[in-house]
Amino acid sequence: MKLTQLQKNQTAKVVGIDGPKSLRERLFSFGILPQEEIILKEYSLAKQTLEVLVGDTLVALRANEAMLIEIEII
Amino acid sequence: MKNKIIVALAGQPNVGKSSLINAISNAKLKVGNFSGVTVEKTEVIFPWRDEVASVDYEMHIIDLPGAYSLTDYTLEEKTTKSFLQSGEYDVIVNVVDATNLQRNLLLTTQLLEMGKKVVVALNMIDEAEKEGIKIDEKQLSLILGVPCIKTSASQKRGIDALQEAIVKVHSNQFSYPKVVYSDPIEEEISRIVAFLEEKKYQIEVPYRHLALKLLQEDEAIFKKLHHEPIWIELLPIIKDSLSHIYLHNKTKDLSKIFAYEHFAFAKGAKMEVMARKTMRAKNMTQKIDNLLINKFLGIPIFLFFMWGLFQLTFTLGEIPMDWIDMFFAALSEGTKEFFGGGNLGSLIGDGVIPGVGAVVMFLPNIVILFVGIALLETTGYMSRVAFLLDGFFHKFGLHGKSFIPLVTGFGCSVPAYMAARTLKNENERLITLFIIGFMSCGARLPIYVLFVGAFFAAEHAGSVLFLIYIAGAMLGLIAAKVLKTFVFRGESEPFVMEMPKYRLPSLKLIWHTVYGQAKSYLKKAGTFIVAASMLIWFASNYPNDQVLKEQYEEKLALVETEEKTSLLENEYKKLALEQSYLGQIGHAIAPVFAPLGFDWRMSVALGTGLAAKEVVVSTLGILYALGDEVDEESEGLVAQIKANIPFASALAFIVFVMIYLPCLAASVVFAKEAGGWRYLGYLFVFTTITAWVLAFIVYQIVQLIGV
Repeated sequence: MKLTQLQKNQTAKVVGIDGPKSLRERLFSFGILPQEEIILKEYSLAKQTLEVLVGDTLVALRANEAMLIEIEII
Repeated sequence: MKNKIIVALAGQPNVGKSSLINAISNAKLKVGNFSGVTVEKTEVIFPWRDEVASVDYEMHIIDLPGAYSLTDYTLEEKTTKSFLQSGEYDVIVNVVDATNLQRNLLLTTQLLEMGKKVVVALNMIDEAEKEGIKIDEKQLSLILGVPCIKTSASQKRGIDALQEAIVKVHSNQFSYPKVVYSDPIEEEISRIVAFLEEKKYQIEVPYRHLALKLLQEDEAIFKKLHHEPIWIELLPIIKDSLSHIYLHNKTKDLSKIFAYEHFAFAKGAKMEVMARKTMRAKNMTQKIDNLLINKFLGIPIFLFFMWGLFQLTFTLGEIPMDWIDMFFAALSEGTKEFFGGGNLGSLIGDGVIPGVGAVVMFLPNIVILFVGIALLETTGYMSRVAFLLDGFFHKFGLHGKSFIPLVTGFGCSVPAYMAARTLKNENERLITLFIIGFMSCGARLPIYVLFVGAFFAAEHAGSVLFLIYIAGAMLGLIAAKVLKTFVFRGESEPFVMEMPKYRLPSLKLIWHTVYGQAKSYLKKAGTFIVAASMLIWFASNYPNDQVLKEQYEEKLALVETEEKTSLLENEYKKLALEQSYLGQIGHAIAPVFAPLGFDWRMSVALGTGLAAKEVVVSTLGILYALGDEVDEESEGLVAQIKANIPFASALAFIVFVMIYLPCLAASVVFAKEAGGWRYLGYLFVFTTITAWVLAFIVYQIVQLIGV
């Protein structure tokens, strides 16, 4: 299941990240990497942009990027 | 003798680096950063005295752009990474946000691997304490192997201790920081270290550091060892070690493997040193977010804030602008009187003083707008703006943050170009800069009012004006899409952005930011604008045809009625402008505009519009021999325009004015913000061709349907 499919305020575990190295490194630096918990906090109209919580950091990302994050609901 | 210490100040964005640097240097020194846009490094130099050892130091603090990690993702991260790798410094001070320890320690582990002296500043400790976060900095010091100092820039806590630690680390023998890795990697490190020990290999760095760099496939180290005899024996060991690591991690991607290692270390370190009692602050930000980035309420709230900001910028800003205008007008008159109407008086009174006035005039706008933007930035709201609007703007190759410079463009392009600094991606910033001109600025309004008033009934004028503005904005978005597709191509950059915690703004930081902005505007834009104003003054006053002047002076001496005098004066002004360089240029370029239905007068007026859009109306006044005391409401001018300009040409003229190059002041600021004069060349070509083509189409269509 992809991060974009998560419901608001639902918690999930990251299982895999696809995409170019630069994007992966960026996500890593925010603490988005496999085995870490991720919560969807808010999304904009039409789900074009998502706000997620990882650790103590709120991160905004586009649906394009969120599509590359494979998750598992816990 | 003074000892020089060069300190590289590194940290993630939003950790209060700028505030800390202000606190350290006592805020006596200029720190001219726009929050978040420290793309260039700033250096702060100040003396510091070690009282105990009574040694004087000269501290050089180099403020590096904020970086989440040492990668090449953003321009900031590239700048920081390359500076840190250059090694042209003595000590790294790593500023860490104590309220977000784990993520910040990720960068710390990367910094520790640089093999340099490091001091960690646990900044914003006051905020962390308020949030119920307790950090054992002594334990953290032991784990990292470097001094960790609790600091708070706002409360001036730990500033002295930090400086002492820097000096101490600087003068002490260097001991390598320790990052501990997972067992499989530690095993391979020990294996390589054991081999090096056996060989008694001579190198200035510790074996552990060398082994680690070999496992990370560090290019510099490989190049160095490549020419050494030990290489033949070392190579198979490294190969073997790496294959063990690959096997264990089920991947051959070393950057990924070490990213996991760094993350695990940072997480482990945080667990050991940090205890948290409540979650209050975190919830606070999320509660505010529930409202501010709400799907339905977010955008209306944002629009309300924007409305307020523009009201302040352009309504409040107008008051000092009027004073400045009056002051410079009086100064200009006074100067001309003082010099007695000579050429020097005219140069200073008509060229230099109005030029300086035009620069200073924008200052109130810039200051108010930038206080507003600094507020949005420092409170953390700007990231929410990007979140709310990115979905729409991304479709046109722009970014959510493009909204603010674009809307500012409706007021004035000068602050709008400067506001584009909030965009960090180079392509998105350039596209935004290129289309700001499409948002018709306030100075174009008189031209629209004049032409709309002349050709449309009064009851339609409002709607036509509105249409002009909307059409401009839509054209701008289309132009953005075109630029994105054909010029600023390349992968659309991923959008992954931190939503920083909401914070109360620091007045001091805002003051520093705005002061720096205003000063750099006055200095850089000022010199060019004054020079260019003088050039335009020259072009419109020379060659000075003495024969013509005398001719008219003779005629003027003969007439008695005031009416005739002013008529003759106006005629003289018209002829003088026509034979000046500017008039000659207008005549020369007239054929270019002929297909658009413009006569030479309109061509000259467009030319003077490059100096300032307000001038277009007064130039038309002069050229229709009505004198220069006309404005867009002047009935004489409206009648003249109606009589002399066909409807199709008038519409084409409006379209051309909508799109072509903004005024001189804006052009200079554009060149500076875009990063070079060649960009102004591109903008000139881009806007002129677009304006010409669209005006041509409008002219032809209107003629065809024969309105």
